[in-house]
Amino acid sequence: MEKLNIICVDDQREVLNAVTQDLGEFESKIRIEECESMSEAWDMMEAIDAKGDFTAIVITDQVMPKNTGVDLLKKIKSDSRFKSTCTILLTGLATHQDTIEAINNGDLDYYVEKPWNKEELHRIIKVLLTKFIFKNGIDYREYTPVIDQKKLFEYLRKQS
Amino acid sequence: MKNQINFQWIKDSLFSDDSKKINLKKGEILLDYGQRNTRLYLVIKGKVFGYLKDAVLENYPIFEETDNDFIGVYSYFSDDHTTYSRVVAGEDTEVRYYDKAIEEHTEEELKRLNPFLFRVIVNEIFTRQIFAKKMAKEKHKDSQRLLKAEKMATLGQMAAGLAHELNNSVSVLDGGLDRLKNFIEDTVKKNKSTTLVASFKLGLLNGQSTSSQDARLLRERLESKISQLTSAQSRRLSKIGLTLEQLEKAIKKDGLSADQLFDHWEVGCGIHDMQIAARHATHVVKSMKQLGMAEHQWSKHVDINETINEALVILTNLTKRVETVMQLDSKLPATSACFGQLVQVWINLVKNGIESMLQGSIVEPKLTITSSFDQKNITIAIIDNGPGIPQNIISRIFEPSFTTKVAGLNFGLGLGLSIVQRIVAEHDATIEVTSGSGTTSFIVKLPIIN
Repeated sequence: MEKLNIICVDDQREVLNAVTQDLGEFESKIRIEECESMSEAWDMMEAIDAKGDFTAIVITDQVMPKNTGVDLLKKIKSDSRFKSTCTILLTGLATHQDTIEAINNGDLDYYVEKPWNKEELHRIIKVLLTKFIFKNGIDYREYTPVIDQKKLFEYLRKQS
Repeated sequence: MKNQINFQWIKDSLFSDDSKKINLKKGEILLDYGQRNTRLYLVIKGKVFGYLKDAVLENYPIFEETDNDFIGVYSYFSDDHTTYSRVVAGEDTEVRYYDKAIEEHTEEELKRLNPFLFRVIVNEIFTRQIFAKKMAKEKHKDSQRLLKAEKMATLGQMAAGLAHELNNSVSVLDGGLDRLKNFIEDTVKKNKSTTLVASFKLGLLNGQSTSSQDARLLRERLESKISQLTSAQSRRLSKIGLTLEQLEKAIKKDGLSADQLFDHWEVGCGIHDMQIAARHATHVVKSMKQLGMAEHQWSKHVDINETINEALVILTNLTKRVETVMQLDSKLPATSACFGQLVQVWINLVKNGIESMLQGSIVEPKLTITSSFDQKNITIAIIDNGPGIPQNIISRIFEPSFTTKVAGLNFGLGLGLSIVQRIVAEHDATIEVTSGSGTTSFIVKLPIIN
């Protein structure tokens, strides 16, 4: 069975730690990967794709050395391999311009401000996972603990 | 020659009588409000000031007259001969006068005199108007300066208040953390398992020192060696900083659980991170306080390197987006300067440099900051490898309201460099900019004053 991954990107390890710790309850079904830069995240995504697995969600910080989160979002969007990958910009410092850029050219799914609320982040991730699973025709029954029930019913209704 | 008036003639004929000479000491009053005056005074040498009686400003200056200027013009020519101003000597002054109540003239003399007097009046009106304009301009400047000082004072008070409050909170957190750390450390040390103690200590001393890449490599090896680990467990264990062998032994031989190992590390790492965060918060608060401090607070022994470091603390989020190279001469002599203002100068210059590199999408953006000194000056250079300042605008960059930042929330008010220039001028320093494609440098030379 193919694996679903969530990649977290932040140049500050303590923040990265805090994010991944908060995602603990997804780890029974989803593999969580941590990356400290855009290039590392990109390599990771290519490696996952090469194995035939999926990068379901990328959660990225905006302000990082060299490349920003928006740079990563644009790169993901421009690659057909990752067209169904969902993205979350998790940041304490994005300007208006960054945000516009992220939505218009990076096809951003969610914008979450630091400090984040754990429950809110969980809800968003569940919604996005549900979206990803249905987009890719993956058997949702495998993922019931990490799926958003309301979204699930919406998709099921649409299918029938 | 027609009726041409000759000033010397006037001087000679009307103001040459030595009995009509007055020597004023500095501060002496020549004419006062409401006084009757029939004299036209000529300043021979010195300076006098005229004041208007004003309810709010006791003495509101309205004119200043010096050599060869006339005084008492209004009261002399008016019908009631009443002085409306107070005329005070600004320095020791010699004046002579012509008193129309005493003098008598022939018809012929008056004919020659009248056009001259007309000129005296026009000239007076003109100089007083110029003076009034000058005063108005200065007043405008003053009120602007005052407004700005007020703003800064408010900002400073706010920053100081905020700093005080935050400092209190941070010290409570810091103190509590310290006690917690000691207690937890003691408790953990009682543990029989040396590996658990080691995990805790690795976290406490180093935080997370394993890079995400190294962690990933170890995670893969862990997963193949210890099959019972869950995905979450292998991810967590890989960042502790223990080797594969140590982890394998701890789990397989010592019977420790992966969660136990990780929890001990995490508690240590958490304390480590909190200590750093507390230090950082203290530092930021201190910087803010200094920045907001009364704008003109000068001190005699300012370490210029420290002002640069302060600026960089405030700009951490920006500087980390580029490679920042610091070449600060640690032997820099202290000099008299305004700490907060200099921090503001560096903030503006560094910010401009970095923003231009980011906007220009430079592949390897690099900011270099150097400090050096010679006998007379301390020199600070801030150099970026951005796209440079176009030659056609470089002469205008210090003008207020000149900005190139117009997009989105990154807009500029165009005040940055004009503030920089003002502060630099207040420090008797100079600022120079050179810009070509690939390097732009701002060089500030501060005189060493002790």
